Amino acid sequence: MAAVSSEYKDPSDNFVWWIEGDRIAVATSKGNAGTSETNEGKLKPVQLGSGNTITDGVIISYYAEPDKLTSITGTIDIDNSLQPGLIDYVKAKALMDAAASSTEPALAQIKMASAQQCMANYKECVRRYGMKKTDKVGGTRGVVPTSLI
Amino acid sequence: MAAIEFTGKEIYSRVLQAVPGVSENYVINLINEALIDMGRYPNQIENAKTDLKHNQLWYALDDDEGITVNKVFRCTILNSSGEYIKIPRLSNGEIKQFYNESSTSSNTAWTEV
Repeated sequence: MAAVSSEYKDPSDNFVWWIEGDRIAVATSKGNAGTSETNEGKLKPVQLGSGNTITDGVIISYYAEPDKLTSITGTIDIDNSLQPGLIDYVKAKALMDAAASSTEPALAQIKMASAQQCMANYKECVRRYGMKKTDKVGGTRGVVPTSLI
Repeated sequence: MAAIEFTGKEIYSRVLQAVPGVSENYVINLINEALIDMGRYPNQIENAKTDLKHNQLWYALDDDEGITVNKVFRCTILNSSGEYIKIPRLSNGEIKQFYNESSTSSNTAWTEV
């Protein structure tokens, strides 16, 4: 397998991508793969010569899941503004489990009510205002009109 | 670095106030459950790169890859000047030729940028 240099001057002219299930497809109309449906101008995988690759040829941008916490002393991979929401979620679930295993009905009800309050706080923090709390957009800005020349 | 960086320990101490006697492992599991739920909302944006391979159409995005992807919103390709150029998304996602995708997991090695 050999690393080759990219020879695509402007990939936006002849590359496309799409998602299907758990995978991304990258296709190009450049090059010829040797059949009537894969010749020059038809969409097909990149044609670089057998075994060849373009090192780091693709970069994708995506909404990601935070990294898993593996130890209790590990740092949590989310924005600071979402930490109260995380605490609410964990407390809500812990209180729900505690309510389920409680033998005293009155105590179970109190724990369940607390759990529901914590879950409501979590939903408001993350689902309703999560994006607004973590975005870095702000301040004055100017509008640059398109040049018509 | 953030002014305050929470660790699992801080969350654990807060939970102990509400539910005394829970174990650290139990709280770690709940934290990870919360992180998965939070990941469903567009709060965290990341980038990752991989090699472009001859005659390979599919690149795997499964959870067992080095990255955990919820939604891809941009794809860029390296050009001859060393720049990454955004490419359009094909709306119908269909081409005539069939390409087998069964071996993409072992062929795709994403690295966070």
